[in-house]
Amino acid sequence: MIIAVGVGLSLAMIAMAIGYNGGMFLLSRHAYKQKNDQVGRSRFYVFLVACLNEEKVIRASLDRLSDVPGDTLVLVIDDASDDGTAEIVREAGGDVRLYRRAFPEARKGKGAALNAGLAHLRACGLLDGHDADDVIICVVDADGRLDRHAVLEVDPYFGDPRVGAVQIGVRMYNRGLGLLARLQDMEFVVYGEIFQNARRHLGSVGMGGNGQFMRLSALESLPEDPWSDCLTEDLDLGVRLIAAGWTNAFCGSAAVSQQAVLTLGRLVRQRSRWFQGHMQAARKLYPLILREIDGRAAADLLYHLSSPVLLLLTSLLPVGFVIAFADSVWRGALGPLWFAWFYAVTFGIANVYGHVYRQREKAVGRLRALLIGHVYILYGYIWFLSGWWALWRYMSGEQGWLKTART
Amino acid sequence: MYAKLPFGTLFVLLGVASMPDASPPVQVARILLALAGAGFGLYLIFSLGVLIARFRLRDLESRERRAL
Repeated sequence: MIIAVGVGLSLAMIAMAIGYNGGMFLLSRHAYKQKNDQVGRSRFYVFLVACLNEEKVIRASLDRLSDVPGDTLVLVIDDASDDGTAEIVREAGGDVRLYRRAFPEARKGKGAALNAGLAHLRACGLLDGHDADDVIICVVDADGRLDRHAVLEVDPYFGDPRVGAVQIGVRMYNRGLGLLARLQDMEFVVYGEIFQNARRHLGSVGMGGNGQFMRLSALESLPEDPWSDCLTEDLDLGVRLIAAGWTNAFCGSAAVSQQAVLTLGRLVRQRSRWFQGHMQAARKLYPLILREIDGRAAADLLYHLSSPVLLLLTSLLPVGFVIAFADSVWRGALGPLWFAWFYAVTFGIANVYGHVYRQREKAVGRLRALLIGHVYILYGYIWFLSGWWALWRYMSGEQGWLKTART
Repeated sequence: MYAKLPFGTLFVLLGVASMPDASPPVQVARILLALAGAGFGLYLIFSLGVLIARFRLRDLESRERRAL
């Protein structure tokens, strides 16, 4: 009886997840009407790039940022790098400025560096004469390569005075370097095209660490520093902006490309850091959401923040499946019809992933996209490893992480 | 975090639940499913607590506003 109830609850968990994912997919296909009350206003775009030993990637990123048309400025916050990062930034010239942090303030995390950069912007007069409503701060990672048309695409969203932040799509520029990089690219495309698009209708669009555009007045409206010391300061900021009454928008027609990690070990480590950050953020954000955010946005954010728990629970399922499957195959208890059914329910969704991915990556053929979609389903299991590792670190009180190494 | 529950993972549960017979290994598998289900039960109880906390917070706030 107890086992039957437990299995029944597992089925309920599946039903909830399928309902949520299916609902988000359908919602993501609906057009979203953008309000634009402030046509013709010119805005000043400041790109904040926090750097710590980024000499391998910073030059290409600055070249791309300098090439973005519009009224722009790039501020590189060098967090006491001991490689050639600062020299490369100085050589860039033009609208690229360097702000060097020194010890003991330096190297306290990306959030602290970004907060210091914003304070420096104000203090050195670079924002003088600009209305805070018309200054847009954009965070780009040191390995980020922003689409040249990104500002043109994002600007109309800020025509709606309620919009405090716009997140653009995230891609992997080295997606051609193997299956693992390709899968990460697919992961970000699927996340943006399905979940972020759907969240526009719910009012719960999340911010990412790369390619987040924020109105300065929105950042100034927050009671604390914009970026926290949480491992996922982006998630934290996005929710606090919504809680402060702003709308977060998602613009999928522009993207920032970053470097995918190319080894499984690094990938698991990176995802563990995100997972742990998500748990940290959940503890802090639950009370805020309950107090300040209404209706559908609150429901979606609470579900999203609880996803680590659901992921850890579902990680028990494949173990059970492998045991039962191996036993049944050994005894020859499974017929061809069972395999056909199993394939359909397990990998059928690969069609959706392949289709969504091809909409953004035309260079990949239909069949190849479908095959990558199949592997992508298995790729999802990486989160289980990462999740348990993160939980272990969380329980043992280890809160700090080294950043992902560049290649 | 970009993780969403992988559909493949979810569907394999249906595979176990629909295995043709219940040999001892399949029973072990079902116990694992039941464990996950029990965890989900706790998750639902926690969610209910969150919902009640939300209503209470809102109620308190509206009372405070009325008192002002």
